[in-house]
Amino acid sequence: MTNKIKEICIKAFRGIPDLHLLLDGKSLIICGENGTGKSSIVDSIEFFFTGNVSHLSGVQKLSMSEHAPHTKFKPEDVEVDISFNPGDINLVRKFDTELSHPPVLNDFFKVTQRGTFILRRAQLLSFIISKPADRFRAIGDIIGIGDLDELELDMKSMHDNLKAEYEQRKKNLQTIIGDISDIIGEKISDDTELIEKFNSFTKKLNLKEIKDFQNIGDLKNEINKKLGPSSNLDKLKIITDVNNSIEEIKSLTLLKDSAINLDNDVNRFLANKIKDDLEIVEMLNIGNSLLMNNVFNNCPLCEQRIEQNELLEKISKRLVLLNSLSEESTKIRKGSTEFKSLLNKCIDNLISLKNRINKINELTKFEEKLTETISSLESLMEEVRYDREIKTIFPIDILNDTLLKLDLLIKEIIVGLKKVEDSLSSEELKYLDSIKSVEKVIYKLEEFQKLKGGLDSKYNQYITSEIFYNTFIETKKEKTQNVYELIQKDIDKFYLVLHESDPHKNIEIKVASSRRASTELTIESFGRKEQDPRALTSEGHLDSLGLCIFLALVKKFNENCSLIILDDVVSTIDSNHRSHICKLLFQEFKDKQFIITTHDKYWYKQLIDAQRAYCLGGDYINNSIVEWNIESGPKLKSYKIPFETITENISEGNLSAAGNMGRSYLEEVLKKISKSFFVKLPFTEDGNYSLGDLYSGVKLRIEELILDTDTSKKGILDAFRELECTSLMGNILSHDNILKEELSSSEVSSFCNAVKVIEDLFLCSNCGKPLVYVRDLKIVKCPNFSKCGSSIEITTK
Amino acid sequence: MELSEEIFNEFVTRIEDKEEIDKKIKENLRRMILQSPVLTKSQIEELILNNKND
Repeated sequence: MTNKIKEICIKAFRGIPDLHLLLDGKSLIICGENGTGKSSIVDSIEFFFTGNVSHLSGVQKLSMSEHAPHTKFKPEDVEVDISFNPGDINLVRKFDTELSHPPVLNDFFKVTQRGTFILRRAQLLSFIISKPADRFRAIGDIIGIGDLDELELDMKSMHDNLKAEYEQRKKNLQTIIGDISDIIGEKISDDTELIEKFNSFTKKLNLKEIKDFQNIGDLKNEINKKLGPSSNLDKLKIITDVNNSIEEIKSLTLLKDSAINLDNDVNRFLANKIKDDLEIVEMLNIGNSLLMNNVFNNCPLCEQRIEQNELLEKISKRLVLLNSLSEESTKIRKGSTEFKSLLNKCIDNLISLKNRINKINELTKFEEKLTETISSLESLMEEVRYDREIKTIFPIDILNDTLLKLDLLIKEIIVGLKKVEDSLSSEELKYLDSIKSVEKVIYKLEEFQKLKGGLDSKYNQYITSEIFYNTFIETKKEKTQNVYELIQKDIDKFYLVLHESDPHKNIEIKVASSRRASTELTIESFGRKEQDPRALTSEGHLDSLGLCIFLALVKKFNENCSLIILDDVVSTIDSNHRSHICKLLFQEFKDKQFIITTHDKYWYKQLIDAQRAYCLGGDYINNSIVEWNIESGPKLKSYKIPFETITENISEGNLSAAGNMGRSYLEEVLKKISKSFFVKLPFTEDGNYSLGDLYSGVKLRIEELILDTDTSKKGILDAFRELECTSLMGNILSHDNILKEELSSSEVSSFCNAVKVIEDLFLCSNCGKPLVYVRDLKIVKCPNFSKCGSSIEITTK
Repeated sequence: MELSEEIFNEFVTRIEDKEEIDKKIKENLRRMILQSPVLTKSQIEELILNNKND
């Protein structure tokens, strides 16, 4: 059995100093003028369940601690006390304490903590006018997949990054193949041609063919054996080594890429003030622990007033953010390690080059500059320290400057080396060219092999991420669409109850196929399919559509929560459609406990009449707010039928008020009979009838319609006669002012009693519904006879 | 079953049907989903980035 609210006690909240509402599981309707505390009651219930009032949150200059308590009270005075049945569970929400509920209310609170049990006037159009992505997010939160949207974005970003990395590596491989093509002077289309083209190149040098790249280094020995000159070989070997060192130093792409990535990551990190955040993470953890274990009204640091729960929530969100930022710092640390390893390799190569040029007299002059460059790079290595904290920018300018100087220095060394090579014999040069080319190719092939291995791994990751992402979004879309279809059926059904004969139907809510995480809402209007609801419908239609969407979501997702609050939601909807809203609420949601507020007296009366029509009188408490002031708050008065109010006035001596109410009472009774019995009334321009016309029309209709043989006819006509005998009725029938003469209490009393007798004669004695004339069967009976078991049957002509 | 759990349940079943996905990943995915019915970003990362089946 679903829990229902038994009692609500509100203290010091919004416009309510102290209010006690005894519901006993019944629904509550509150009618009151603007500014009399209706919404304060709704706010206090929202505060009880969520610890928050949505329209006071997230708005600048509004705060719960300042604006939720009653102006004459302090936050610590606020108390909303709600008890539930069955089990008589009593819970109290205060400003400075957490609300814990027993497990039996878990489902109830799960729904209410989302806040989706309240519909306010301002929220009616939120689903309709919001952007498709916002609509998807809003519904996603209600149906419990809000977090999955974040995950979907993470998966997309992971996929995009892996794809970019894979494509970059593929591009680098293609560049290497292009470089090898240039060295061997033959076009290589892709890596499958590498061995074949390499073999045709080495064949020209009379070297043996290779089957794979495993023992490619052995080729150097073969070159030395076959092509090496008998003398000067040591010098040539040094020249070759210098050339190799230069080649390795020239290829600084990886180092440069790594530096650019690291520089970007560090800049983003510092620009987002992430470093500051990381510095305060410890302080946040201490604050969190303090607030969890103690009660504070003021901040222990700045001594300003605080909302402890709000602050705890903010700290918790901040810590979650910082955790994700620590992932950023991990990435930077990883990038910095990679950069340093590449920089180390570069320094090693430079040291090796320095040692090699040392052995060639013509090149020793470059030794000093090389030492300077090595020293600069070593200093740079010292500067890049992100292993503990990330406080300083990456020295990209110094690095670029050093690499630029290195580039110039290498060019000078190449020129110097060329001069050395020019002094060699033709035999020596031939050898040198051959070994240079072969070694260049070997170097490139080694680089290729390294990248190719990483490429396969990256490709597998990229393809896996693509399949994961696509499968995830497909599954999520399909499952979400299934839920939408269930909701859509109810929205359509509810909307049809409200607008049976209107030209707007076939509401569709669907996950947009062409966009990520978007929800489309369309309606068929005037035969035009898939229109935006705002295109061709009135404000009232849109509001009722908003109500239908809310109710459909409630039906699907609030199954275990009986409470529905409608705060002044029908102001743009006309009287006829409002009666259909009563039908929708009272038929489809009769097991729910409603709290409905309104400033509209006619809607209040409609709701009360509908309770009788749907036999729900005992399930509702109807209150109107008759007075409100800041000191005492709203004063509620329960609804009474007109006869009871008239009797109260008579007994209090308010005869004039009682007389006027009696006249209105008679008018209302006669109008109802006219409607049910198809009474013919004289035509009037404005559609208003005088009381005399109504009375004559009704009496004549009864006299003509009911068979003389039916025993009830005499009773009815006797009641009319009794009414005509009262002096007030005499005034009415003679078109005199009812208050023209002094009235006695017995005169007013006998008039009202006579009206009451007539009213009762036309109501079902079992269920209280007005009797109706069924033309086809020529009888008068209770329209609810199959349910209430009424046997009334008045035969007519 | 919550909708998010339902989505992950179906997601795992569909991934298991994909021939292109490594058997080890499928096994790890199933193991993870048995431990927590809704996966996190780091779990997905672990599954994809530890894929060294080359």
